Amino acid sequence: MSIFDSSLISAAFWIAKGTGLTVALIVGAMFLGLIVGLPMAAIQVYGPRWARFLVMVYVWFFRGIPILVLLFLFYFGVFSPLEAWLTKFFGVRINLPFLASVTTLGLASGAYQSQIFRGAMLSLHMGQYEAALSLGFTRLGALVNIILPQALRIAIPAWANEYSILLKDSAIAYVLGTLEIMSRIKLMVATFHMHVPFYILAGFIYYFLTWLGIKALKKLEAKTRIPGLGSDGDAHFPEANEEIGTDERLEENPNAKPVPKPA
Amino acid sequence: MFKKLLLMTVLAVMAMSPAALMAQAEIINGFDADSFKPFAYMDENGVPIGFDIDCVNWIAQKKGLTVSHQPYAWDSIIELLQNKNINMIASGLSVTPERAERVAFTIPYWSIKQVVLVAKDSALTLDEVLTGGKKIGLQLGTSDLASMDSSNGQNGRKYETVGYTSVDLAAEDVINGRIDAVVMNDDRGFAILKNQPLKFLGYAGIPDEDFAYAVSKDDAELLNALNEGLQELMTDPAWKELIAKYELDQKL
Repeated sequence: MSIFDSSLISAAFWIAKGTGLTVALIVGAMFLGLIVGLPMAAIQVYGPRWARFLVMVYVWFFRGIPILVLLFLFYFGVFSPLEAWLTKFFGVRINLPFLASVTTLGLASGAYQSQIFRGAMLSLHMGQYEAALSLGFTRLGALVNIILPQALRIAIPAWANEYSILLKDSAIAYVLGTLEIMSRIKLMVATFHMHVPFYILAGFIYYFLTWLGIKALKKLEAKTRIPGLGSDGDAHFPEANEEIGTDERLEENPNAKPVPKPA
Repeated sequence: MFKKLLLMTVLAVMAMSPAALMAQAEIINGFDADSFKPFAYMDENGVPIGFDIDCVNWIAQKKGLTVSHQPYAWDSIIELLQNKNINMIASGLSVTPERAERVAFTIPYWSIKQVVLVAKDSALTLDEVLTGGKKIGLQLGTSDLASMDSSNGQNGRKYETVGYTSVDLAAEDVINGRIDAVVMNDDRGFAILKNQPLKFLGYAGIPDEDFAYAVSKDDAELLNALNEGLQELMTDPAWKELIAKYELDQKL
């Protein structure tokens, strides 16, 4: 069978159509992760002790168990009984593999995303939050109006990294028969008894999606950039033609006591 | 920023929910997502086809049922049926006592033998494969693997079984020389031999297996409909046509 056989080409098209479900899977999981991760990050940085403890338990649960185990756990433990119940009482069927995959990936990503946003919030001076409170902001108001606009911007590069990781993790959803790219690849491999060309195709599709997503998030980063904040912000590095020592932060501390010379 | 994100999330969820999350209530036939050619697999346009799929469609038409065929991971398929996430399995499912305890089987409609395939240029004999401590690949979670393991060490049989997630991967490893032989059912073997540089060596010497459809134990209505349908189909000229269509009459 030639690579350019017409049935192989339609198989490639059918696989490429699975890109839509993969994208729905990642977009859904990234946003679920955002909804779960952002409040958890705020709690970890600004929240009360008991809430911080609960968040810590959540984060360790999802970070400590492999995605594959989580998938089966949610599939059989939560979604399979839920679907049976919905079918019995309401006669509706949910797309079980898709829903289980998107929820599991989203909740797991939430654990990682909470740490991304936590890092971004910690990079801001605690005084900003306290100053906002002293100016009469509510806690939520301070968070939404003062902290998040800065922290979200700082978090974009790490969030882009999480996207590329999640994209590749999504391939594992094939074990539930989600009909995204990878499970379509597996079905066609079995139909044509041919491995390498199909896995090369899978590699290309995932590479393209990674490239596209990273590029889009870079655009977002550039668009929302505020000079002086984030990666090109706080730390001041002297330019090549700049005389070292003109930055007051690099100057000697006038209050420092001179180090006594060894006798 | 925050409001926009919230809005986008709500939109994304709304866009996905009707199309992706809901499917109409109908009888769902779960088949092997690693595909089980020629019994249940997908054609190049992603349409489920195969001997079992066509037979079920024929029966569904006669009995006025609406059946949709959806791929699921094979090693969890019995549990899905028990949980009623799917209503039936028609995907070259072998009848075994262990499975019969958990699900209800229809009358058997097909019988298969297990065959041994080796690389085309291999000099191995059937005796050497089954008694010479060779590596034999099989699909995980299948009754063939259980039979091969339980008969290992009896009557001078000596080999090492290697589990794969699909028979195709095992066949690929035989071609690459990482294992010596692969055991699968004769109809699957016939389909694989057409595309792969393998040859038929002989029978694996484990009991023949019957294929039947499975339904949930308390779903007597569907079981009766399928049994009646199968009996009608097997006396109908369509039965012979379907057998010929999937080359099940051509044995190794």
